[in-house]
Amino acid sequence: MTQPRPEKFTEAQRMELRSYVQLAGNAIAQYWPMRTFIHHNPLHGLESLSFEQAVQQGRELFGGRGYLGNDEYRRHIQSGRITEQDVRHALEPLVLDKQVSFAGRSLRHVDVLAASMIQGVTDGEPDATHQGAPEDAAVAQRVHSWLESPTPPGPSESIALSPPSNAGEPPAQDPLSKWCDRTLGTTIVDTINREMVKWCSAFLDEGETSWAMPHREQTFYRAWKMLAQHDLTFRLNGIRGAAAIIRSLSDRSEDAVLDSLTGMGIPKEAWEPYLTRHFAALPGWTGYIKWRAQQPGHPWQQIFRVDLVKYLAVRLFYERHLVEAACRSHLGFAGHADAIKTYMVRHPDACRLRQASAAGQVTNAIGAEVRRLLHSNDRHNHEIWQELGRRHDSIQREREAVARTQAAARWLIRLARILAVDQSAIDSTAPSDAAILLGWLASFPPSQHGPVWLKAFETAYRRQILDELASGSLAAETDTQDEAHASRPLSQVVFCIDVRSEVFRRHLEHLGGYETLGLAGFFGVPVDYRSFNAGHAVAHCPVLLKPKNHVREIPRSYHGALAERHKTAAQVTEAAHTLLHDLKENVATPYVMVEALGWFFSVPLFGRTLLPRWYHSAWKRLKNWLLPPIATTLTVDKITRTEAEDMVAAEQQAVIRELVRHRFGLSGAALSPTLLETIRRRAIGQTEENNGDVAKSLNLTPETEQAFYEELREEHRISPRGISARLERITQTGFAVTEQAYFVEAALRLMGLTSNFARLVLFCAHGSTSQNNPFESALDCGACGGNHGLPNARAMAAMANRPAVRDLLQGRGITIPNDTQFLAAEHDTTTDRVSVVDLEDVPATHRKDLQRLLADLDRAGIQTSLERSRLLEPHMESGEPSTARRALVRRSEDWAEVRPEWGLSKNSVIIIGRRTLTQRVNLRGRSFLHSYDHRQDSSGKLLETIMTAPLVVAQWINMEHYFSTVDNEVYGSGSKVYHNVVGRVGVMTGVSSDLRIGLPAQTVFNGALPYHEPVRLLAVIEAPRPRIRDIINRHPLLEQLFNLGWMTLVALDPQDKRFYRYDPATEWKPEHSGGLDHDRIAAASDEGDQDRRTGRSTEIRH
Amino acid sequence: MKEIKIVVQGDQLKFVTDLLDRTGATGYTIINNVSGKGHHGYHEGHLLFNDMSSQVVVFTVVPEVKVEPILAGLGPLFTRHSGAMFVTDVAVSRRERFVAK
Repeated sequence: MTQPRPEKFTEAQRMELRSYVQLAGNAIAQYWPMRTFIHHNPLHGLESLSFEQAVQQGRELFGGRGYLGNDEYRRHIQSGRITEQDVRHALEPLVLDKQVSFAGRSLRHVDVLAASMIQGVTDGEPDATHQGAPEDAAVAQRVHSWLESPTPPGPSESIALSPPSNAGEPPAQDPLSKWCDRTLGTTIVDTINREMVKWCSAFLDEGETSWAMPHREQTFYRAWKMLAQHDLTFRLNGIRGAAAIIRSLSDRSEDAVLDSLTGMGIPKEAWEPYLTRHFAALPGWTGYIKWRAQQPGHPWQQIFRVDLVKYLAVRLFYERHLVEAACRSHLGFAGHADAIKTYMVRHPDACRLRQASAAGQVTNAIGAEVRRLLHSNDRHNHEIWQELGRRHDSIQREREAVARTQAAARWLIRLARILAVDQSAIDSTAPSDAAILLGWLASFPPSQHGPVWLKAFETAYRRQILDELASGSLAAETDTQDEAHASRPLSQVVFCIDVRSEVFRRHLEHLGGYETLGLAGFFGVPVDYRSFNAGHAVAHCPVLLKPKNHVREIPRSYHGALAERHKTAAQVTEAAHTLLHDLKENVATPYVMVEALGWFFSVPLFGRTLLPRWYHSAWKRLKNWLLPPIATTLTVDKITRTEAEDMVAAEQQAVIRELVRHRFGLSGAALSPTLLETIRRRAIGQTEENNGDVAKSLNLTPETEQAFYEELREEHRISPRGISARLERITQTGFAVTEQAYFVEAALRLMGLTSNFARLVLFCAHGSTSQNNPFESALDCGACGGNHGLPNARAMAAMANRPAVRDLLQGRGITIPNDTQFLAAEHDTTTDRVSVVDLEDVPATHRKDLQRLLADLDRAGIQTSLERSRLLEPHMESGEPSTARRALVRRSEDWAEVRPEWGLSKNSVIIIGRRTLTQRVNLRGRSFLHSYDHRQDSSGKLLETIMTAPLVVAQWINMEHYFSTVDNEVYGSGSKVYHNVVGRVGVMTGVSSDLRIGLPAQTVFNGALPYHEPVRLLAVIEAPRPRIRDIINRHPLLEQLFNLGWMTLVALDPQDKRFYRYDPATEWKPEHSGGLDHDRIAAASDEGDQDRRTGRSTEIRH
Repeated sequence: MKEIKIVVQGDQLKFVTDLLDRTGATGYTIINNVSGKGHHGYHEGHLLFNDMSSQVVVFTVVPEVKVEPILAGLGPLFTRHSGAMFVTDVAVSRRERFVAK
């Protein structure tokens, strides 16, 4: 540690810096540890921008694409998923009402833009198929000469063939390190990243490594400071005297950051964008640090503190010194922003030349000159560089002019071919028209097609889904009874809104007699849940919430002895794991261990690899035989203080009784309750007087009696502190009856289930099962924070079955019949098996109902398996339900399986409304379904809850899939094949990379082609439009999502049964299936006899 | 002594409390889910399933010397996020409780 010295910076400066760092970190999305994978928008931090601006910003910061490749969209044109009309419709805002004559053909602006998109007129590469033919070469030559002729047209100057160089502008926001790399050809950013990955992966490790980084308790920055003094890589990286410099650094991370920023001359107004770019260099690690710094209760953060300021203190140190070394060596001046700015202003041509040379874009002759200059004594002579730069510039300009003409010729020939006009007539085009045409093409380069394609893709999808919803609802209208007189369903089953539930619901309803509903999978009960034998509690609720109630899983009372065996087994297993881990990671022991124990592991190795299903079932049987599964229940009810005190007193008396019996041999009448209680009270100091009765009964001296009390206090925690800890633990769990009634009422009202309860109402949560899959949590319930939802379902069912809760609900207008029994279950989304739990709570009167429900859940599961296996295993054509199920079970048990299920891939729409709207429609597992009855929500409060939570979570999931698909390398996590788990928090690619964010390629790609269809989420809400509008107006969050183009909103107006699309500018636009000629369509809709595909207004009735 | 009232979006709460901790405020009071109207329009209070999007108020009382670092720390934040901050003179009993040792 350094000696105290006068402080260089004030407290106000430090706090201001923290504020800038906080703002700079906004652009980086939080990264949750992988064990609770949270689907989120990788551009969440940019949601205050419009979607298109955010995509652009994302490209600048992270280098990620925001749209599929144009070829990919063209594939959808070929398959008919997108029509040419959709493209033209999407182009409307860009289109000018102008036309030109080209080779004797009249062309409108929209025709040119559409051809540019659909046929790729301006795509960069010359197409080999046509350029190869000699006659085409002749045409190309002719067009080329025509374009070069002194008469106009002349190729447009605006044809951008290479990104504009900003060499003459100061590096206002780009980190100096990046500027150096770009201009001097250094690899400083890579070096810094490599160093940061090294320190982050060591510091943020949560128990994966055997050799932990020392000094971590000193915080990230100080631990680095202590260790980096001995790090030899500084010398390798060209920083001399690093140890002394590091020793002289302040112990305060804020001061180190301020020191680096001022040392590099970064002005305060540039701090935020400057630091954002530093964070964006490794968005995974910084996203994780950002998350961890906001979790005061995170056990690792409590001991080993890290935050973005500490991260920057280290990162900027590297930048400052590497930039300094590079600038001194290449340019002969200090690595300071002002010096660099001056250089760029005074020697712009030299700067451009250096950048072109670093990018390998100079001619051989210039390249040779550059190399010579670099090794001469004149390497710091900027005038010589400037002179060479001017030569390079003039050569470059000539080359660009030629390339422009070639591109223009290529475009015109392609356009002629597409329009099937005579290519030899191209040069008959009026020069002014040709210039306009080339201008149109040049100002709409392929890089700008993405947003239009996306809009067209979404229009096509919206038309299809709204058509289906409209026709499905019309069919339902003809044969549904008025719901008020509906008869009692066989059972009601409440599923999560997850897209996978839709498939199961459809098959279950198909069996007849069932009513299914959709509700966010935590069923409205946020809990901190600790499962039996688990070391700590986990929040089971959306990450938007912090649970206020704790629930524990405890063994059923009749399983006392077995529970002890389970506890012992868990301890033994943990000890064995630790031992094995230590033996494996030790320097010497692995050699012996392989010889001694290696054979033992060959059975699971071969079993899991060759016969996964057999191995798992054998292992399960063996495990159940050794240790039968235990029945548990949840601590849903809150225990009052008095009850808890009695419980604790009884527990302590039992402990004292055992001690007294064994040590003092007392039994029978001598071991009276009064004696036990007296001993207990004396141990906890509740009674001062001691008449010697205990000493007499136990035959003790006053000293040994006191020693006995001391032992009780110290070893058995029979002390005031022990009692208070135990009481706190007991009383903080569970829900008071009023709380229970509140949660049950909220859940029932949210989904509109307030009457006509069936005899059985099942809350069906979901979770997934897979082996060797770090991304398993991504397949679990998003509404439960990436966990299985069963505990929430169990808690909800237990509450709703409580008579006291039902009494309260009756007072609030919800009458649940006495014969209605609530149940909890979990749908395994990998195998489609549903396990119903807590069956001991089902009364005998419901035995038959339960049997039927279990059988039907199984039948529906098999049909769901069949439907899903067609998507997962398209080569399996057998169509046998049993084969399908076997194949899916194998996927869940095979440790080499990279795609246990498709998960939430292809999600594209959330429908908030009554099931009658969707019941007749096969939504193909692409739709989130939230039940909502607008007639029961005049205040709009229920819809507000749905729109501010489940809708938001669905949007996160949608955006995670969207960006993981459009750029899997940047926003997704690439192929699973190269993943290595790091620090138990995430995965890296290979041995050193950023923490990979997003979904793996295997989740969203099928081979080389995207499986997920990246469209922004479409929300269809069945509710009065003013109600929806009011809610949006009240919530900046929703305004942002809908007004800035992060999702599309369509209202199904209950009054006129029509769909209206929300448009921030014009409020609501009637949504037509064709989405094209609005006036014509409106007229056609009045006639009511037009074909839907060509534009009939979609109208439905309930 | 000065009383500082800070109104911020729920997702900035951790930053604010962290700032108060770092500047040596000895305590603070948080009121969750507040409603009101400001520069960004009307903000709704209580949301059932979303703690991050509602507004919160944080109160603290600090010696005058601490006000500047706190204002410096919140200044840049308020250029980008909705929120407000009020500083008023305040009299307190047990003054020593509000001064960090």
